[in-house]
Amino acid sequence: MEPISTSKLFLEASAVFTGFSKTELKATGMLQSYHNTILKNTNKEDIDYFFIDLNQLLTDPKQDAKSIKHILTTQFMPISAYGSLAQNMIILWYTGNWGNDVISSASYIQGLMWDTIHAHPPGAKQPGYGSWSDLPLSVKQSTVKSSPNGK
Amino acid sequence: MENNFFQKNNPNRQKLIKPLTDLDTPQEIANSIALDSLTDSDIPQEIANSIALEGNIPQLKDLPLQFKMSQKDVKNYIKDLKHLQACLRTALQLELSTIPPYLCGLYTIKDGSNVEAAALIRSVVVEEMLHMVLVSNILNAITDPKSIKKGEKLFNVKDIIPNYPTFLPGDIHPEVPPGAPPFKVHLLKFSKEALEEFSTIERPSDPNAPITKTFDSIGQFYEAIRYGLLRINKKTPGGIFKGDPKRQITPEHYYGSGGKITKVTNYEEAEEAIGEIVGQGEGIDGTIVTDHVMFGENIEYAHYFKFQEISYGRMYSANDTNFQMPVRSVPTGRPFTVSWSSVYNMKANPKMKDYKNNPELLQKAIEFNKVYVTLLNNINDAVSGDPDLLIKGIAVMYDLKYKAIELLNIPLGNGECAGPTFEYVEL
Repeated sequence: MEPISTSKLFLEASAVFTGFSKTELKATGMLQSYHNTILKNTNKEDIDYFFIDLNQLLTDPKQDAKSIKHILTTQFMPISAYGSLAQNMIILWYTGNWGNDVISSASYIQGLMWDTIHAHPPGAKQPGYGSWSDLPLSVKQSTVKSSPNGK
Repeated sequence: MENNFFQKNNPNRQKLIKPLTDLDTPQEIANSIALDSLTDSDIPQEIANSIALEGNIPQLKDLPLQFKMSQKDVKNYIKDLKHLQACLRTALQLELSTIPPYLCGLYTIKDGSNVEAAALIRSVVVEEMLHMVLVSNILNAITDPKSIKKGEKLFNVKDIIPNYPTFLPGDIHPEVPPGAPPFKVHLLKFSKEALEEFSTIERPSDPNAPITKTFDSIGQFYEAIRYGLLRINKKTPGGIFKGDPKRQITPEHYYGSGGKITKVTNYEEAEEAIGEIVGQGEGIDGTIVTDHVMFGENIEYAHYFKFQEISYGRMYSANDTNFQMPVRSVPTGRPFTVSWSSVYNMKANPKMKDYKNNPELLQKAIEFNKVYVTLLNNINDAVSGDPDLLIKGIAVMYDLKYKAIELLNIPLGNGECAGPTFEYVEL
């Protein structure tokens, strides 16, 4: 079978690791940049095995969505696996940082942590003067919408 | 970009609109006589000839939609107070219908590129929202509070949202090149086509255009409203300005308005409000600036000319004038960079139904539309007796942009990306 591109594999794993949907991750506009970040900054052996194993898992006809998620969380997420790549990816998506470095001004703005806590990146996305006295819009609306990813 | 030229306290403030006159120009009268013998369904001889010569079959699109309404018809267009109120509701829809296309043009510009173009479009959007508020002020001013049922809003959000591509509300049909289909407003990415569309929306009426039964510009539609206000106010004992002043939006409810919000409690103030709307849209009497302008004074050009600036990638200079009609004015000022490629490749006229096979994307589109409807509800509440609420809409406006950018980041797999659909959803 044709191997899945590493960019697609990265998206699949990121969705499971972060709890955000693939569409929400794409909507940040950061997919390409973060994919490049892990390729550039991760030990070659770790990243190669990460993608080989991930490709094998996702192309295995015996696996379904549930078992894939189980294997990802038990075998890919431990700190000891792939040089803590899963931990680094989660921090990357949530904060826009790799280690202590901010990837870019866009990554700071697009950190998932802001949405998660219904807040805005200070200095970058204005919520408008006095808006802090009101419930965030996303909270107001969450009373009427289902939240499949616990967001 | 903020101008002080249009502000009330500026002694050089130019008259924004022409005084109402009874007279058609000699050219208009000549054209009117020529067409007088025709009925609505007739094709003018000129066009019939060209059809015969070129062997074309007459079709609706060949009909003279580009012709404008006669001054006489404009003057008598509005029948009574009810019709006047209905026309002002149409004007509200008209102002709203321009906002989503301008926002699509603005949002699809990638961060950091087309800085001047983005600033120009943004300033136009802000003024279109201002126009919605001004129209609401006029409508509230001529609405007797006793006639308002408890809890009734000024407009219906579900009904006012246009379905793109859409004709301009109010039977306004701007001139299109010969053979082109009648003008409709589309939601487009920042592009030459989009700028062409924006300019057509805001283009001034051509004083020499032959006459027909439809309006040829937004300005002509507002002229009919001005005549209606004047005539019906005069013939109604006690006048029609019986509205509750507490329903008026005033400058303190709308920050960043630059003093352009006009409270409306009488005919003169209504004229002034329409002056702001029409003057900002298409410019005043064929000029883009007046000779009062001092070197270095900031001028806020009418929307039509702002869009011309982007199309030509050049600002107007203080000496540019536009006395020839139809408008052929080319800006000669400072050049700036316009990049048609640093743009999100948004699919034209996106719809929620386009996303039905991708539930996660559909959810994103619904979230955007919820914010859009929330924003319109907020404006509706503010103009329906709760003016203090208007300022709370600002947080919603920011959110609208962020949600739109999220959609634009999602590729559709054919080289295009998703986009905001500006459709009604239940909250």
